[in-house]
Amino acid sequence: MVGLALLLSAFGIVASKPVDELVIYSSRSEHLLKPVLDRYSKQYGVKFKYTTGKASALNQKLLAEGKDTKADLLITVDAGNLWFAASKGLLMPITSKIVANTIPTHLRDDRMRWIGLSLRARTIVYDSRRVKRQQLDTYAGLADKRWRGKLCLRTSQKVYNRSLVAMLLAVHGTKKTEQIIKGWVANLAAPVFSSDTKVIEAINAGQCAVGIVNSYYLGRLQRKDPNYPVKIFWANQRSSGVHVNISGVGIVNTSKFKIAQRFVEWLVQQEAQKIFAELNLEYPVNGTDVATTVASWGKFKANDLSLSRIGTLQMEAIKVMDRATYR
Amino acid sequence: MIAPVLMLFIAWHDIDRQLWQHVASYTLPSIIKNSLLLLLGTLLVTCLLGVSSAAIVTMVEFPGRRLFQALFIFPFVVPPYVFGFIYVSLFDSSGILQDQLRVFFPELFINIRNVYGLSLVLALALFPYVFLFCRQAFATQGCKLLEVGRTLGHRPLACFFLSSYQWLNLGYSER
Repeated sequence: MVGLALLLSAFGIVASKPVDELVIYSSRSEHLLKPVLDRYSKQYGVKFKYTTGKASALNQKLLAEGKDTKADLLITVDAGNLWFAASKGLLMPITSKIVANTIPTHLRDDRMRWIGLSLRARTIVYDSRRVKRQQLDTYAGLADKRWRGKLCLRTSQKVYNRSLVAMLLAVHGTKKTEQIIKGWVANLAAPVFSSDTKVIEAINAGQCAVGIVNSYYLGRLQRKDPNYPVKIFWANQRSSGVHVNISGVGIVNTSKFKIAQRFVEWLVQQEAQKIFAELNLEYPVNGTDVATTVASWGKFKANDLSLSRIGTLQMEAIKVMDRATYR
Repeated sequence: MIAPVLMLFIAWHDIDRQLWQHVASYTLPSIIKNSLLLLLGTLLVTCLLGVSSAAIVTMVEFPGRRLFQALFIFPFVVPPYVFGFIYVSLFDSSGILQDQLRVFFPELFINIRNVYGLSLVLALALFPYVFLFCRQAFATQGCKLLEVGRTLGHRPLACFFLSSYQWLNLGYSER
């Protein structure tokens, strides 16, 4: 009997994994993902296997594996990555009404091939010892000459900056956006940094006075030291609103759809959303309460441009940044 | 190992020509310039560190010489990216060293994240290769040539270069 089972499985006749198991490709770090998976496993008995890596590498892995992939779900940060996966036909539409009713339309693909799980705001941070809030206004304002030698930025290679510039492209058009980026580059106090945390640390050290980062990076430092001198400023409040992006999920074409979708439904509800909010100081997508540090920053007006549109503008954003010598 | 390179050739027909033109105009020139500078910088610093460390432990007698002979091989076990992390966290503008220096010089912000710094980091990881070959060469060279040089009135450094050159020349002509 065992021999027969082995023989059948060798020819692929018997499924090689049990049905109550989901395989996840994730570009989110293990320490942010595991607590969520553990909680779901404990409650519903579904087992998880996951591969973590860079989003672009995981997308290429899915492309290369094609219909033979074992992955059921793709979890990544930034809509640009999910948009790419969807545009290559790797994801299938989520049909759940619970999901459709929970996730606002601008935080999901128009065909529901991917949805946002948590929201992150990319905004201006400043040195409260040297800068007054009144001096700040918009992302474009940081291109002004008065910030010469006072701006710190993360590398343009990071998808967060590509998406931010894609939003600027949608708001201002190519010509104006290129001028803004050139202004940023001219105002840099130091070569671009490899991470948002390094940008904040440079501001804290006094090397620069302002920067653009995802809010939770500042939250992590403020959680350790509530008197941290770098503060948050919500950009573009009198105009287009702060650029927000998502960490999101898509169901892979060849997945065990029902089990995968049931898990996605759970992810957008209170319990999982609370874990996301607490673990990484992000904003829940379903209106669940935010963490205390995040609540202290107050409410803000978010840019409601569709993230799918931002995805389509990514390539143009890269070209504009290259032309403006933003490395 | 060849598979990824083969994939590049296979994928060549899929290339977006317009995109390639953009890359050639806006990013390739600076990438090529940086790569060449990095190559030269790393080469120079690696040779400097490798040859001088090998010369010191083979030609100069000092306490702990044997220990240093072993220690100079140790960077082999540290990957370059680890050197990179250490280098940035110690010496960058928000790193430990500059933080302390700013107690005395508040406006001091030295940029260490450039091609020179990277050359140094790569050289620190790579110099043991040069060190091992040079140490072997210097150890088998003997000191006769050096002594002859000294008796002919050359200074120690000049003797070192002259004798090393002769030795290299001999090695080359024997091939």
